[in-house]
Amino acid sequence: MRTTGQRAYSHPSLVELACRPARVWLAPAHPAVVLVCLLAVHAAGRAAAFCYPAKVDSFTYALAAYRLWEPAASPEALVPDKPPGQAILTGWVYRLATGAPSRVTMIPVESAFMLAGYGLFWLVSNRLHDRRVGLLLTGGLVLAVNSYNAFDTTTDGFNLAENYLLAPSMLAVWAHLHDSRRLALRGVTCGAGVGLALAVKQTAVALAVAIVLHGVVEAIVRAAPRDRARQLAGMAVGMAAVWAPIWLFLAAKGLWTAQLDTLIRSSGAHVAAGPFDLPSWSHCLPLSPLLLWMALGLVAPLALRRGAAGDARQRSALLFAAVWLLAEATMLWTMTKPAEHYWQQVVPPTALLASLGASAFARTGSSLRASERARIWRCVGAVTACAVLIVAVPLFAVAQKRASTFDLQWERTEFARRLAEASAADSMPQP
Amino acid sequence: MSRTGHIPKAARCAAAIAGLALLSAPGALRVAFVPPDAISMRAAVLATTAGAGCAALLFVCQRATCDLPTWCLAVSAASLAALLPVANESAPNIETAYAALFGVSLAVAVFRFRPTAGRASAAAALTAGAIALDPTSSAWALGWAWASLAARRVQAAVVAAAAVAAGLLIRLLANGIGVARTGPDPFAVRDDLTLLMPVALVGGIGLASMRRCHAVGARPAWLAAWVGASIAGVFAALLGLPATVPVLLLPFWWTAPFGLLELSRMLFSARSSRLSRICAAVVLVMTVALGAPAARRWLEGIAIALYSVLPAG
Repeated sequence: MRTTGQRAYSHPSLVELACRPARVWLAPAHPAVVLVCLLAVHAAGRAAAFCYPAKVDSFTYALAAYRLWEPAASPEALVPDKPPGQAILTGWVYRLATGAPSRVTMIPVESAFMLAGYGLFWLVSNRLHDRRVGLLLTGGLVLAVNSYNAFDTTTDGFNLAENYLLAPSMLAVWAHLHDSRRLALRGVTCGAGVGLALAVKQTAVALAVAIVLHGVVEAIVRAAPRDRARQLAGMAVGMAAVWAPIWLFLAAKGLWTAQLDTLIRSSGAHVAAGPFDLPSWSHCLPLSPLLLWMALGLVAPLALRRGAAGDARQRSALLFAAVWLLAEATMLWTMTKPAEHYWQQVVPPTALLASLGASAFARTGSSLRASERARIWRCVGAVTACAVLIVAVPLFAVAQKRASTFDLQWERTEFARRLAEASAADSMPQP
Repeated sequence: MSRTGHIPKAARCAAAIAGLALLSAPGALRVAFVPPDAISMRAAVLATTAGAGCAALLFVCQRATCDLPTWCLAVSAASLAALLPVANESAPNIETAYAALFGVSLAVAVFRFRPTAGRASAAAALTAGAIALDPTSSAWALGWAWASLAARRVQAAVVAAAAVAAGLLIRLLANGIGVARTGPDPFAVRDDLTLLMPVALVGGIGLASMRRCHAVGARPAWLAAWVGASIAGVFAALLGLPATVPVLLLPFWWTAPFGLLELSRMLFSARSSRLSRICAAVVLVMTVALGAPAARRWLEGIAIALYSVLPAG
């Protein structure tokens, strides 16, 4: 049942829209509670990833970072199939830290990058709809990212490029979707984000494609090609501004040619168009709370015959998020290794779509009478709570189980052993 | 069948229990034959008994005390019978877990039919037995104690607490004090939760809408407390305590009929808004989609049955 009067909500808050029983369901959505839960999920995810029994990639990238920042770094210090961005961004910490080097030194750096990524996602979501919804959907993002990371069975999830990719990607998206009229500045910030992401891992090309495609579509739709051209030019400047110091760093060490050569040869090693298979349930499970809100947002406007489309900013963001998700899903499909952490790239666009879905859902429900709204909120709240619980519990269980195996002394000894092995391998004559 | 066409009640009950046992059988066959769960035929029989028995108790008990539509109860009971033997990876010992499940269901049924002093004592004894078999069953007793305390029935709360203490004491004595504690396997917990997710979704909706249900005799306080204690039990896995997921999710099957009723009202009621219908449809589609892994496992059991029945070649 709908009331006859149309209420003037430009950006209705979910809590404002909900009536008393629904507020009970939204009570855990208090910012402080969500923030504490978010940090707890992040800590559990990091503990589970750090203490995974088979420590492969985390040592590879930590050693690369350590060796790259040594005064006499050799080309072998670089990871052959990865850009040098991650090693440059993280290796400095070994120069500052006191005591024996180990992977532990890398924990605060990785967490800082990931927390910055969550914060930037919250800024994007907050700008598009509502502070509290933004925080809730950020919680969904944190849960999904850490779940994929912790339950990866191919390698350990700690210190992976995907963990460092989130912050620059979200910086680029934040700048791209910002409604400021300072287009050149937006373009530069966006370009810096994309450039940084590409310097960390090549898969960020999906984000770059999405931003450019969206920019082109917007230029056509809004008939403002000059504005978009200015933005794209700014983007190019931003990318150049990020890549220049990286080039200088590598060139100063005489590693630029070697890195470029290996990168060109090995970039496509793990990418191929294979047969299309539907993803398994365990792959989709961490996304379930976000997919629910995405689905609700997609179908909710069907309930109203008019007036549910949102403002221009939200429509533009919706188009961008859809293009981004499509690009990331295509990238994921072409990956030849079945690693769960590749799914981390799909999480931010899904969370963005879920955020827009929550916004559309709240807007549609605003014209319903209180008892009907309460009934809907009860249903949706219960389903969301169940979905979150079912994703969160195994994550905490795996973190608890693995955290008990942590041994700082072993970490230091193992790092030193692997470092010595790598140095010895470098000094051997190449065939 | 009598001359008037009326089927005797006993025959109907027997047919219903046989039907529930048939629903349980595929999962039980999987327990018996498919590695890595391939345990024994005794475990398969226990799985069938637990699945069919718990489902029959749920149906009879809910039908006797609540004015819920038969189809809601039938769907919940059928899903309980079919899914209970399928999700068993998180159980440290499958045989004792199934026995504990049946014990808890029996205790709930005894308690719920008539919560007098005698019945409560019988329920407490059954609960203690179930806890001795699988400590995860404590969730039911803790929920019972919680609801009793909330209703200021201290005596009932003491009985429930005594049941927990007795169950744990029996277990300690049976295993020997200082027995090595093995935490739950997180991957097994995740797999079982994935299999039972549709039940948790519908049960969660039932829990949220139960207060509004004016079913005759429905007193959901103890049920809500049981669900709350079970959720706390799920989090106990974080402390390294063993968590048998089907035992913890058992109360969600009891709230699922309320959830089904709420979803059907949202979908088909003339007073329902379009958004309400769309919302219910999305949740239903999601529930069906999330039920695919459990359905696949159940069908594997059917395939095993056919393979063992059909002639070779």
